[in-house]
Amino acid sequence: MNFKIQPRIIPILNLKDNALIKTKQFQEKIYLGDALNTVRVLNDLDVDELIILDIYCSKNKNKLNYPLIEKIASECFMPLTYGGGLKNIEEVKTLFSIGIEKMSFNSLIFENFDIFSKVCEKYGAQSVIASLDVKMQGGTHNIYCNNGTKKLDFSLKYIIEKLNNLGVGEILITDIEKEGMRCGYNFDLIKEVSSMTNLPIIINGGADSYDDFKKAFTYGATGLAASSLFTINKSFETLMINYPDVNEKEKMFK
Amino acid sequence: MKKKIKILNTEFANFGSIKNILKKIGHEGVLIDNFDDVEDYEKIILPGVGNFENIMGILKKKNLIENTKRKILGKKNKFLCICVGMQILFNSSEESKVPGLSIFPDKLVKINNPIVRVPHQGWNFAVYNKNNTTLKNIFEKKFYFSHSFWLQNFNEEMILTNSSYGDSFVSSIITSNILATQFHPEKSHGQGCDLIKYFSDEF
Repeated sequence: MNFKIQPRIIPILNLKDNALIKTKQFQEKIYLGDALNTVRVLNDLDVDELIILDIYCSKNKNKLNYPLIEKIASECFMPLTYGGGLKNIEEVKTLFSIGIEKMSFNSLIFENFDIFSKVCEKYGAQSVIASLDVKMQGGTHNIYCNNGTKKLDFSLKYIIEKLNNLGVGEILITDIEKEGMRCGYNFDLIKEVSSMTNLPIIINGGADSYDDFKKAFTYGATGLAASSLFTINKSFETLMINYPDVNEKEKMFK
Repeated sequence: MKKKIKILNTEFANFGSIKNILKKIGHEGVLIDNFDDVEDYEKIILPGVGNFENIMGILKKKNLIENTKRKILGKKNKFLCICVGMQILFNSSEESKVPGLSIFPDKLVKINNPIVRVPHQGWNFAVYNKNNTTLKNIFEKKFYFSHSFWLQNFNEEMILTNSSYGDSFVSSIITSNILATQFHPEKSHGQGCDLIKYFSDEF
């Protein structure tokens, strides 16, 4: 049997209140439609996994939108990750009780590594995704937090080593400048991260075609994430949900 | 007929997801903190997310280690044990300083093969080689795995499926009253739903 399992193809949905929105480079927002309906359709399309990000929750220091998260979870019979505004272990506990078993952390990793470590310890590494947002500047990949607004002094290598030692479930890496642009993934970034860790890597930002998935997989990504590609009609920038079926996936990674 | 399926409250587990899937197949998941009100022949789910040592710690804190063992070995109740819920049926794990429930004498080891990324996260086949047609159909499709430790060898007669991720490992086991899976049926779309239905209605 082949040891390499197929990579997971993962839609990321960005939420604002109860709506699904599209972002570009973490900035411009376009209202796309109702979040819950989109989730239902994606569940029916048998998606490998789904990530929902409530980016404003973190930015505006709001409370988590539990009613919506619970409704979404009740429609998802595949792994579902929540990210946005997570600050403490109580929130994690509540999320588990309403049907979320994977959580994506970003700012907390840099603001309170102790709490972040504790979540990993209590819930097991496989429940925790460390989400890193980067920008290529002057030949290096710099790390940002707070929704891409705050540049950090740590190097990518330093952070990834810390995550290797802690043992998180996987690393979600997003190129901020490619996010929403449909210009192809940052393949150099995949190569770089891939050489630094044996943890599963989900690449995000820029995917425009199934060829991008194919290429990212050969460079070492085990999760292939995208938002616009799965939700938007490229010509009209309106909601159009789509996802490869089993046969298309087989073809992509055979 | 709608059944109440009991879910043992190990605190750190995905009860929400398990309740959701039971509801989808027409049953109800009921969280229990002990076995006091569990009737003979009721079905019990031992959910699993989290770490081996932690779950054993919770069972200890709730004074449930001996009772859980007794319930499983008493064979009057059928158990579905998921992921870490399956792992704690064994004697020990490299993940933990404390022993498991020791229903089986084997030991879990860390996935350690440089050609694969760890944890094993993703959809993989659970290969079924026996004759039950229902199960044969269920295992035609892939299941969702998320784990860093595994069982590499086990009594052949009790192996339900094997899987492969760099090396071969035991991905589910079955006895007269235990159905235990390393993968997550509650997160495996229709095929997972079918397996939980099999546990609830036929097993």
